[in-house]
Amino acid sequence: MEVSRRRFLSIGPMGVLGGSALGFDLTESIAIKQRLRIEGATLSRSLCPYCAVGCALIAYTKKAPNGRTELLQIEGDPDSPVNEGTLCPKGATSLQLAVSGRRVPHPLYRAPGAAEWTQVSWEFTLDRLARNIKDSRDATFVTQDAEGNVVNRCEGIAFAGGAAFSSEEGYLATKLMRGLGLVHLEQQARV
Amino acid sequence: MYGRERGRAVALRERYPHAREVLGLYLALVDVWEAADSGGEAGRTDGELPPGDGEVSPVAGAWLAWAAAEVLPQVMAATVAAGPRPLAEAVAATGHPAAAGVAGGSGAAAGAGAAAGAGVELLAAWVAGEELTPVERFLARATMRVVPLGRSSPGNAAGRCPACGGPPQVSYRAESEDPLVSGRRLLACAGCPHEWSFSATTCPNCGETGKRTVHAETGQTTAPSPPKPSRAAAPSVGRGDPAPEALFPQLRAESCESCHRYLIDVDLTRDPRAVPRVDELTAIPLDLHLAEQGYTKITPNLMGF
Repeated sequence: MEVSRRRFLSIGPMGVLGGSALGFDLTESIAIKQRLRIEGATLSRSLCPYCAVGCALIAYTKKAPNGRTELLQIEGDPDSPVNEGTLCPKGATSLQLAVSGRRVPHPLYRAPGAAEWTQVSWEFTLDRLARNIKDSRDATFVTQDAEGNVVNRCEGIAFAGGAAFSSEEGYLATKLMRGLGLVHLEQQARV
Repeated sequence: MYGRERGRAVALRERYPHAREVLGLYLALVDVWEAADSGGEAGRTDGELPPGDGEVSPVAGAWLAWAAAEVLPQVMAATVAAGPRPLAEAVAATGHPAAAGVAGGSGAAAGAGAAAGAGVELLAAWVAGEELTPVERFLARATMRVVPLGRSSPGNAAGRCPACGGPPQVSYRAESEDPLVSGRRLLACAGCPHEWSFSATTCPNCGETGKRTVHAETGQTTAPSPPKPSRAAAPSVGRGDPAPEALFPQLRAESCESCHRYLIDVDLTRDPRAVPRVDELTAIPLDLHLAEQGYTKITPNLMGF
């Protein structure tokens, strides 16, 4: 029998062969598909917040039923020429920065001489911080140095900025601390 | 090369009964490919000669003639013997001597000559990217697996095979021995044996660098249980451990929310024995799920999924 190009074209149109385009039985696959619980996670690129090396991250997130975005996984971006998929031990645990179950969600206070931490309100915490800063600043403020030069600085308080600072947070913190007269400023974002 | 594929297909055929039919046909084709490609010709470049031909011009035509005469009949015979009945019947209905099991005689020789001519036309049409029916596409792809010819000239388009310009068939993550290191992502070409490194966060189809979604099992295989905390239902993504009792621990699907295309992704860190092109064939339930969600695979695999 002669087989022509048209003969090839005339066979096997979609749908004629049953389950799949080539006629494979999909019964079991459909049953499995119905049992499987498959969820989608959004893939986003980010940068490690800890130091200035700039390791690239891939973050997986998912919309929770309550509408909040849930962080599922963070790992090194293999495309990055900086870290090529690797992360340092600290960066590799950056997921815990956001979702650790051991993270303390409220302020704790240990009074002078006390052995126990007690849970306090944010109002108490902020008032207490402000009071201690004010007292320390008043007690250690220097208006003139040993040679009589006007310096107007606070030497009794040091500021250690968070490594996870964004540029904006670093700028704000520096402005605030300089406004108080602090001269001992440090933050890892300058690394 | 074919030994790994064969071994993996045998193992997966035991593990995944739903893919028994697909893998059975694949195993029959592996035998054909191995016999036709005993010297590893599929990995050679276009400039080399087809077996038994002393002329280099036209190389492509010689390859097609060789494939139509030597490989296509074997592919058709294997399909008739091991393929699903509708496909086997469709192939047998072509009247090709190989499909009909004709072995000798002058009439058979004449029929074989005509069939080879039609076969060259079919393969040429596939190489040229013409629209083919699913059965034709299957026969052409299965035949051209051992022929080192691309469908088009190599290009620089993102997500296209640097060797032949073909679309990616499957994505996979290279194995990483260090749990703190994410393996690179590679794409395997649908049109040739080439594999190439590609961005892990970019759509190989449209180049979109955002709006990527990874679809993975959550490990909960039955729905009737009472609602659980949302974290328990989170998909197992990234380099984390697969979901407990996951049916496809090494497989995920990655879709693009811009073009609504997807690729199956095989994670070799989770299963170092995985062979991406073979494992991808077992992902039929994932393919069905993605189709239900409105996504289309960048290009169907050899078996049409």
